[in-house]
Amino acid sequence: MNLTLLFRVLAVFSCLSVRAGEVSLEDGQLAATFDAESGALTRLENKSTHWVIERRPELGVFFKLDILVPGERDNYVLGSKQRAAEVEKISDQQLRLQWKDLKMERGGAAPITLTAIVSLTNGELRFDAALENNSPWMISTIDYPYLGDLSSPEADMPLQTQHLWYGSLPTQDVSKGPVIMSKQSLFCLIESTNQGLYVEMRDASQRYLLNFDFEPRRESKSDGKPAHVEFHTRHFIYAHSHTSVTLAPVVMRGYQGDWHAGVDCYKQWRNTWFKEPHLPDWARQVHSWTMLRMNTPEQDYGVPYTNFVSYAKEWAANNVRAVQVVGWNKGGQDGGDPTQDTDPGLGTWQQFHDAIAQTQAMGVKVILFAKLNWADLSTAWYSNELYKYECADQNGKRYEQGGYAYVTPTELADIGVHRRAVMDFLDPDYRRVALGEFDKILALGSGGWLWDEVCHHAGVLYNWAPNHGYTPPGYVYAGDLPLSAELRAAADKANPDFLFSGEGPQDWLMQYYPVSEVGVTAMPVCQYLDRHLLLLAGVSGFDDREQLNMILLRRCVIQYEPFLYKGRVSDFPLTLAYGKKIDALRARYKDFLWDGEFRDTFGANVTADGSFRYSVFVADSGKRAVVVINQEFSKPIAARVSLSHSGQLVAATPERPDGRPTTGLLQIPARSAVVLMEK
Amino acid sequence: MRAKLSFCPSVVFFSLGLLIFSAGLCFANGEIILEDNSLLAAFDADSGALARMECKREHWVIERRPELGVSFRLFAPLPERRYNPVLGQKQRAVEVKKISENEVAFQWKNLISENGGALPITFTAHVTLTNGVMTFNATLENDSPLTVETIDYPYFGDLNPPSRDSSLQAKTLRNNKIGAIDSDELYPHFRNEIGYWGVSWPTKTLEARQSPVCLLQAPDEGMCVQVGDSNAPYRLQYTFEQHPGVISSVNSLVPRGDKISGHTVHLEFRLCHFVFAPPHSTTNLAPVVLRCYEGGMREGMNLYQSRQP
Repeated sequence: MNLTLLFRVLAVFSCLSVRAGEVSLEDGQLAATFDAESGALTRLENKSTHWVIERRPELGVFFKLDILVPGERDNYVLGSKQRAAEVEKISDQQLRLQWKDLKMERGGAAPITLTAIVSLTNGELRFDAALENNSPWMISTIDYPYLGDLSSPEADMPLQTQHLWYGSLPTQDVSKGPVIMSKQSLFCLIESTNQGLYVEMRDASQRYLLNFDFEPRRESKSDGKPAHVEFHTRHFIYAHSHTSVTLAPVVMRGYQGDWHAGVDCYKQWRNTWFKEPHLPDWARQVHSWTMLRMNTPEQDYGVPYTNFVSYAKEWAANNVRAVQVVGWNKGGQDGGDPTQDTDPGLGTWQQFHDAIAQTQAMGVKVILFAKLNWADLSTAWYSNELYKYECADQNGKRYEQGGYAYVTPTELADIGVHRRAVMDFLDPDYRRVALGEFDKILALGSGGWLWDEVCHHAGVLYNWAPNHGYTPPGYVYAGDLPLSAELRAAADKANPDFLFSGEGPQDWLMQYYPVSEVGVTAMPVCQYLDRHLLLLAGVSGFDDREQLNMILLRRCVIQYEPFLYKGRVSDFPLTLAYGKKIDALRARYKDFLWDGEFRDTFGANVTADGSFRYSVFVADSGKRAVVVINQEFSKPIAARVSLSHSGQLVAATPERPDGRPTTGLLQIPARSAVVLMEK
Repeated sequence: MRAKLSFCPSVVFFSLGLLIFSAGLCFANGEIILEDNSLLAAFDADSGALARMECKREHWVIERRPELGVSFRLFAPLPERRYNPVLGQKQRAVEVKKISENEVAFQWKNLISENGGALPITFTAHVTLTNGVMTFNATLENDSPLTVETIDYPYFGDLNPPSRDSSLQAKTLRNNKIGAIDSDELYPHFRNEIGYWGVSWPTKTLEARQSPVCLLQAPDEGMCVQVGDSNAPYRLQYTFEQHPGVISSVNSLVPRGDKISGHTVHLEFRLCHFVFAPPHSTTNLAPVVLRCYEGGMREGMNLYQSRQP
């Protein structure tokens, strides 16, 4: 049922009258109260924990609009100054609100109608809304829903917010007024000690930007308001005159526990829409990658195509199963984008094609690094064609990405770095260009590609340049999924096993890019979210047991990067040897350490007399494993692992992979790891 | 065939004197040495590389292994290929001459570039040591058709802390304010501060325009490195580069031995002059002044303030 029809049906059944003063929705977990006249949300309580999230009714707000009247920026419509045309409880679980002919702060009324449905079902408070803009102006944003008085469970108990980004869950202090953007995360957590509020944009299509905004307000003598914190979701709808827009639903849920419980809320919704991508069989096995750069914009031509196979022989001999090749294309790494032609300075197309084939024949998949987001401003191609597809701001000025510095003192001092225009993925003509370049990667016969910087469009949110195949402004992130789908379709025609990988793709993009290069992140949220995703983590130290132990702990894929990915794996034999032991251990206990469900620290209790970390894996059989690593550089530790209701336990290490019986008391040498498993 | 030697008293006297003088000028093992009570610096007589340096009072061998010595490095991009370094290690000095008790003159000509062949560029340097103050002056005569973008000089190929168990930090001014000091650890941890994609070794660069002084500060002693021209007409950076890398990217620990997995462990330190010398031009480099001191950062900064250019 579409939303418009829903609104009509609900209007017909709007039989419950409004109590004087307030209207409430309530179930066993949440209670939400609205002002019957203004429609403002005046109180929100998590009944399970008695946290009054929205506390003072006088600070209640329901929405705010920003209307772009020519010559008058920031012409706001404040919900607090409107009188609702309707506030109706249409069922025990639903409330319908409507505001018409909205009063603008700069005077006058605008023929705009906002209709909202608030639903409460099983502790899930959902805000739907539709906006009819019959004014002659564009509406840029609508803030809805709106908590006018976001409060902590207890005084002096700070609130923090967390969101999903780049394989982690960055944490920010709410009192600092953070803004979380849906271009990074479809949800944010608002957390206090051992409980939180989960807020979600229930639309994974990225059709427009939504910000989760926290706005601390100081005490105001002019309006008599006390210090408080406002929280709202800001929808950047850019609704043209005489159009209707259905807003992305916003969902709120309370939870008990830490971020894991908050992410569980997201996981439940994600399970309804996330399409698991295809992973070729080789990528499903325990394996490792390496990385090698051939060239930079400074034209150092470090690894000619004809030298590539000499590296490959080492990789094959050391069970490295994939190599990410960087700077193979014309202009070198971060030069010449978005071209995927080979570089004559490195050799011929045929030489590279043949080197790839020989490498893959040795069992090493070649993954070609590429970027389709940018156009190098120094190229003739940009000047002659690509400028047509660049994103521009409201003033028609080109957006730029600053480029990256390489090799020479000059570039490393940010002199002469190749700046890039930001290509518009919403533009079908540019998508054709991107597909044409991608076809060149496919033609080389590689086993996959890695789209570096797939996760962002530099500072661009909306493109205002005309003639891009739509009426601007266009949300540039809205082009990510369509372009990815087109690229995947092109790859499937050539080779369904062609692997897509990317640098820190957002969760929705991981439906296309199941391999994410993010390193070992501060919070293992991706592993916790989805056991099938592969997370690449670089290893560059010359005896890097610390990083390799973290990779084992966090179920990442080893990516060997000797000399910061400009060397050979034989350059760091100590690191390579230990990495191979870790992969051998993971292959032996694959059910736990590779295929098992990653539970982070849930399900075990570990204590030790030194610095340590641990994580829990659950195999499909239900049996558990605990990885404990000693982070001390020179001191052995004694650790005690407790697993409830465990049977017989065995312990294995990279150096002693045979499982030996244990009581759970482990002696772990410095810089080492132990895996304890239920037998 | 043995030469028949004839002895003339005056010649014998002169030769003996020359020998004594040469010994005083400290030629040893193919090195030319400048030395006073405070500092000793040895230069390779063939390449002109800085082979050894010692803060004598502190017994701190700051440049230790002669085989890691470097004279200079410059970059002269070609029209068709930007990457075209000139490595001092691959040049032979046409002159390394001790011209007085406290001064050595160096000259390199017709420099061999990595990708552009021999270039008609002459690099001339004078190093003086006076009362513990070592000054590096240099001039670049660029008769090539290329622009010389940068010159790294002086160049320490093997910067050492006082001992393996010691520590070393780079201390620089923040926005040229004496009271605001930034610290960057060099040893035992060395964190990469440059985008790792752009370098092969962990690297740090610090801006001389923010700080005309850089203290190489050990716990009880230090070396004050100072740009001797407060009006240098171009940008300068202090660059540190840890070879071959660190033990672990997690803790950034520098390997303690001289080798790890067959690679030589060494810390490079150089001053990079962004001269952008056009074709057929002569450029005088800003002088660089070194002094050793006992004590901590305060003593180092006092030394800097006492001798600002």
